[in-house]
Amino acid sequence: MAWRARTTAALLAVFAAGAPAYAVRTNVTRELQRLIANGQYEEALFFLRSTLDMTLALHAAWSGAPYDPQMDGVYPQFPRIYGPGQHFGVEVRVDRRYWGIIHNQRKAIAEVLDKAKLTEEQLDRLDRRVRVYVEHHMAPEFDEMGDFFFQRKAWLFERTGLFWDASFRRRLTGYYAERVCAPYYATMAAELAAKGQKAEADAYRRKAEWYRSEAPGKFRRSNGDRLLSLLQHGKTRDRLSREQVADLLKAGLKAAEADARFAAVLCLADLGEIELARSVANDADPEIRQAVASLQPSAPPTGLKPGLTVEFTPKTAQPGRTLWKVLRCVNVGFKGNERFPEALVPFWDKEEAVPPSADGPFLLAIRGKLQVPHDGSYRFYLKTPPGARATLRVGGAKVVSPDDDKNLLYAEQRDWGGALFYRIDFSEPVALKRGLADIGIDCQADNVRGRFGRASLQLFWSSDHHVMEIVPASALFHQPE
Amino acid sequence: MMPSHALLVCSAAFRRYLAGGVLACALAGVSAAESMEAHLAALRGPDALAEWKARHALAALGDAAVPALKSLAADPGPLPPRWLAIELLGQIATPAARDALVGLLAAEKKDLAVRNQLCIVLGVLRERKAVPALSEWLARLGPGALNDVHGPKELQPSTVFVRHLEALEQIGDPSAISAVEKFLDGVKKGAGPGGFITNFVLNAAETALASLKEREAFWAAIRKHPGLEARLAPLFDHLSVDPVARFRFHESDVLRRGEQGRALLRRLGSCDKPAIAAAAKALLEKYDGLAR
Repeated sequence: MAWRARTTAALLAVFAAGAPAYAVRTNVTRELQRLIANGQYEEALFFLRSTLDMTLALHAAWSGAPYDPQMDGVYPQFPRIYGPGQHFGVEVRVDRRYWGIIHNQRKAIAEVLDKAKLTEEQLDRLDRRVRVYVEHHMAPEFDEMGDFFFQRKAWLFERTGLFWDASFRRRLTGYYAERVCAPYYATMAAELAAKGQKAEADAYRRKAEWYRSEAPGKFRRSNGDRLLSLLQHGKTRDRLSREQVADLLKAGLKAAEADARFAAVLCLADLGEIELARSVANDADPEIRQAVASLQPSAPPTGLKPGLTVEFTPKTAQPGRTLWKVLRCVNVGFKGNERFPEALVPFWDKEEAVPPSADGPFLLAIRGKLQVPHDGSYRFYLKTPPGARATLRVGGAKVVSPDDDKNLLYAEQRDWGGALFYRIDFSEPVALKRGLADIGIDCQADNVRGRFGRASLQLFWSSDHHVMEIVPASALFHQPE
Repeated sequence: MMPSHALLVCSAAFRRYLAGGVLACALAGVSAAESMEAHLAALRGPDALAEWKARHALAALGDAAVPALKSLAADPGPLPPRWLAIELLGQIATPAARDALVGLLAAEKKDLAVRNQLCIVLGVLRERKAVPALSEWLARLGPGALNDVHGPKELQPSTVFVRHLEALEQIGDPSAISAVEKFLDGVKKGAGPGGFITNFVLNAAETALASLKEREAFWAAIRKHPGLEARLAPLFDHLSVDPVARFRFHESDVLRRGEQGRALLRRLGSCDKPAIAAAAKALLEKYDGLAR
């Protein structure tokens, strides 16, 4: 009985690998089969190619990449880490399943390409989509894919006092920036230059430079985290409260080793303890002085208050009722992470913008000012819930519109029923001047609750000066009433 | 939120620091053996930043660092610095460094983890001189053939075989075909050692064999057009070093002579490097006429 075997296998897989991972795999496979059966080869290739590009980008990172000597339970699907005792060095093993993925992807791509007979225009469009997709996921800040959130993971470990663990992740982000991201962008720059797209090639070259220059800072922070972990008197596996972490970092500011002070300053900045970090503004180490000097001012621009305003209008539950809140960041409906409840404060308001009682269709109008840190070209990404129609305006111009799928980055099907879980649309690059720009999001959707909890809306950006990240709270302001 | 702007500012300082450090090392010729020792010690140490600086300094030294790196790679100490040394030799990639890597591969018969790393680096370098040593390992398939090897418990012999096959595939030398065929026959007959994952290895061997045969057929067809083979060398060098092309298997597309290959060649025809553009155009001219 094939169905019984499949069901048993599915159940075993759920217990072995965790339901979400299994659900993603199942639906990607299903989705691929559906697309191929419908003759939507470009879409199918997008799935396959983007996975392959990322897998191989990871391979570049892993092949010979020094990393975590301890067994690491966080990334069971890809690299497994082993090593002799407390030796702080290199050894990475790539899980054999990973090679299976590559072989299968190669075969599947060859098969689909044979059937597809794509035109050159279709191939170019596919290239562009895959490029933006990989660019999006390669950003170490981005946390959607489990294997790509090294930086985020490091940050969470720092926020909870696990500096020993954070140190490994910081080291990995250094390798990732240096070995994967910088070469990738440099190659793309060369490819674009060869096609005559000079401006885009320059932007990619700058990004490659940025990644290359980021690496030493990440290694230094890794070393600093390691030294901070020594301040815990051997209790490196104890999770600390926010206050305890702040106390440890205060001690770190007085450490003899400059790397420990450097890491402490940056961790305190992440904690929002800007004033405390500024207490070492006259440190002997020039990089620490620069890090302190570049911290965002805690006071908002004159006449403005932090956060955006959000007007949430449930259409059926309580018609006509409008709720006004101030959002620190464009992240609506997030429930919080019980394991790291306080680690998410800079991204999310503690107050829920959408009341728990709200249900049914709603309209959402988010307004405010975006503080643009540099003159340059910015790309915005809007992640929206299923069935939502969202428009993003920046500087008065509509940059993401619900009316076309031209710039659909990714539509994730993570639901057993095959329903859309979320989609991400990206904007064309927007030229912005340093200073304040108006920002507005209008969104209407059928239900605030998705099948897997709250529907969510997230805004990301990337630019010539920084990689893809959630637009930080420190860049969002509004005019008080 | 990660203070990316803070790091951006800091990183400028680091760039200067790195440039200064590497330049100073280069200007001084790093005459003192202590400098080399300090770099090697940093590779063994816990400080990530020091290791990063040492990696860059050693890579900048080029051939001068090769003997020290070779002996570190062959040193039967902890694996992490040995892996780094192998990787750095691959990064230096001069003839001396390549020879050092081939020598290490020929000499290392027991340590799976080191061989694994050597295969990765030599595959990326497409070092033809490594083919005999790589093929030789594929013959170690019989019962007890791997009794004397050792490695971390997580590293299966099958993984190491796959690394060898991947490296041979990347190098693309047809002289490896017979070794891969024999290996494939052996695996099909169940000659794998303990802990051997047959399907996994079979898949890799079949892929490698198909790829090697594809190349052989392609170049045999090319040789029928006098003078074309030499003209195509820059094109395939370009495809082999371009990581994005590698990611997307453009080279395989060209070898297979399908619509994708034609599209790629048309694109490469407008490449800003004249040798590559000319080679792409020359191949495109003959493309449809090449026998499969």
